[in-house]
Amino acid sequence: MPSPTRRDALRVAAALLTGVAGCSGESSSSSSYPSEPTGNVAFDPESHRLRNPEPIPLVWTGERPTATDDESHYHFSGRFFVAGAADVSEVGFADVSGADAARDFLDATDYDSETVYVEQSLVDECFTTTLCHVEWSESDVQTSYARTYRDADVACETDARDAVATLIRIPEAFDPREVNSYGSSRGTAPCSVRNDRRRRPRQEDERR
Amino acid sequence: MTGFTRRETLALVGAVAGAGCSALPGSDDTTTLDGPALRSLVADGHSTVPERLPVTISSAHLAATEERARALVDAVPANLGPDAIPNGAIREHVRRAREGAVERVADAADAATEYERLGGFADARADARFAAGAWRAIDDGLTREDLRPAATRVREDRRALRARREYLGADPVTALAVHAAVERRLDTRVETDGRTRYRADNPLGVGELAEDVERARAAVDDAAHLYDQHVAGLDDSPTLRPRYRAARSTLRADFESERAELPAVDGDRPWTVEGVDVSETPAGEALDDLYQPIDPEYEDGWADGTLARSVLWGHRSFVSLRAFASLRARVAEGERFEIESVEDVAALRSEAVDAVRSANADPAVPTLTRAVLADVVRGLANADADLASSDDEVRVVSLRYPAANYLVVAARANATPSASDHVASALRE
Repeated sequence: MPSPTRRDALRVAAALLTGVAGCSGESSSSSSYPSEPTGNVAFDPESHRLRNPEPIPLVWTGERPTATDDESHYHFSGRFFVAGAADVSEVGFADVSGADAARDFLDATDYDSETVYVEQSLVDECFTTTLCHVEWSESDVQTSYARTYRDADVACETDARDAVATLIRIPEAFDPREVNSYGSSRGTAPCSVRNDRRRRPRQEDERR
Repeated sequence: MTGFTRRETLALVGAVAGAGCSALPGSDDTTTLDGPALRSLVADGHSTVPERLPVTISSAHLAATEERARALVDAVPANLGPDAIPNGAIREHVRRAREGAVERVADAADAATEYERLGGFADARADARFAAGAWRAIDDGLTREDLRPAATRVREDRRALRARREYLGADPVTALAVHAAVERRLDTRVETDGRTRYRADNPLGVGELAEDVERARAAVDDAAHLYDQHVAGLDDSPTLRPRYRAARSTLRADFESERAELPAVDGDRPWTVEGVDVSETPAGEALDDLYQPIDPEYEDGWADGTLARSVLWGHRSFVSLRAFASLRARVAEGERFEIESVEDVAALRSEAVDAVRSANADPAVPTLTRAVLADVVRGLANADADLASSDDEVRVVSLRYPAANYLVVAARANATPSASDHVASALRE
């Protein structure tokens, strides 16, 4: 097997440096799935946010999640859809600030023309994320968030993380059972920029 | 991608590979060399070529910029705690910026030449002002709006300097370096309304603009000082502008005809020499590196940028072209530069060190030559750093990049004096 060429090395270096940049907070961006436009997109969609300083599940469907071997380790990749009144009745909320309003948000959704997508994750305590847009197709849902520092007078530590749940109202009724691909990206660019990039991906490519 | 140069990127990969934590694709060469012996090769360091400018920087100007840098550092408490900045991430960011500025101030104070000290303090001031601006936003309510008048003043001062500046000089070669240094500083911009790294109302967003204003302030003040010092010693000298323009045209034509004399090079595979593929050897990597700046696809520097810098671009183009041609010729004659022993590495390094020393001693056009060498020795430092961090056993494959760097340094250093002569002749015609 041949040993690496300089160009291979540069590619590795690019990957390494991307990794380095990804560690540095403000200049980072992350994506759990390579973002390709899927067709439908809603910019700044209606949504409701729950945030809690304890890393516990904030919202679930069906049975309440229980901790596994360690109380602090829940699964935070939790995501699900609410597509009708029957689904709403299955949704449970932790006893946290904003939970009543979140349930009102579900109740106020018109499931004949709308679907709610619920996404839950951990966020560094000193940062906040703002939902910029959601994209969806029959099989795929992707979200885009802007990540920014919280205000200087918010007491927080760099090694702590909060639980965050986002309830997103997608302006289309569809059968979520067909969805099998999920993605979410975060970056430091504000939503205006992230949304602009999504609106004009072709021009963006041409500028590079 | 990042602020890293191609060579620095390669050095990074070399360092990571050397540290044994990188699996470059496809490497299966398990031959190893003695790490302590490699480390000892670089234990004594090497001679540096500090950046100089043929102009006297006044001690008062240097003292003022140093004082400014230290005052900005001192404006931020050394021990920021949760009481001062409750948000731990912002606190950490400001703290790190202050620490970085402290290091830069110390480095600048220790720099080998007045010109390096000037640049070092300018960088330190920008870093320190980021921390100071962010802290003032938190502690005293400073906003980006408050910084607008300072941004306006620095723009006005830059415009005024541009208006009164001319390409004056008794000797076109000596003056070239000064004018290029001035041009570079006049390029520094302040974006008050453009896209920001941080949210504009965040203290870090305030620090960001404060940093930009300070960087531009230092650049304009230093440019004005360098220019004024340069012209202060001149009698009625005519403008060199037409001479620089003519020299640029001549040099470009000369460069293109010299490049045309090269044996045919496949731009995608510059490591292929007369049918021999040396792509997996230090020579192949070095040829690839040296070819980039002379690749016809990437030669914007002739026309882009400002006049003095485009002539310097021409100088560096000749250095790269002749370095590439000479290394290519050696490969064509059968030299392979493969690494099989510590002695092979030592030989490549010695050649690089000797080439730098010899070029640095060349008396013909020291102003031009040393400006290039100041960059060239960074490749030497990177390669030395790779060897210095060697594990006890080092796979030869991971030595390819430092070895390539030594080859590039030697080829560039050897090519520099003749390129300097060529450029000086064109300037003095």
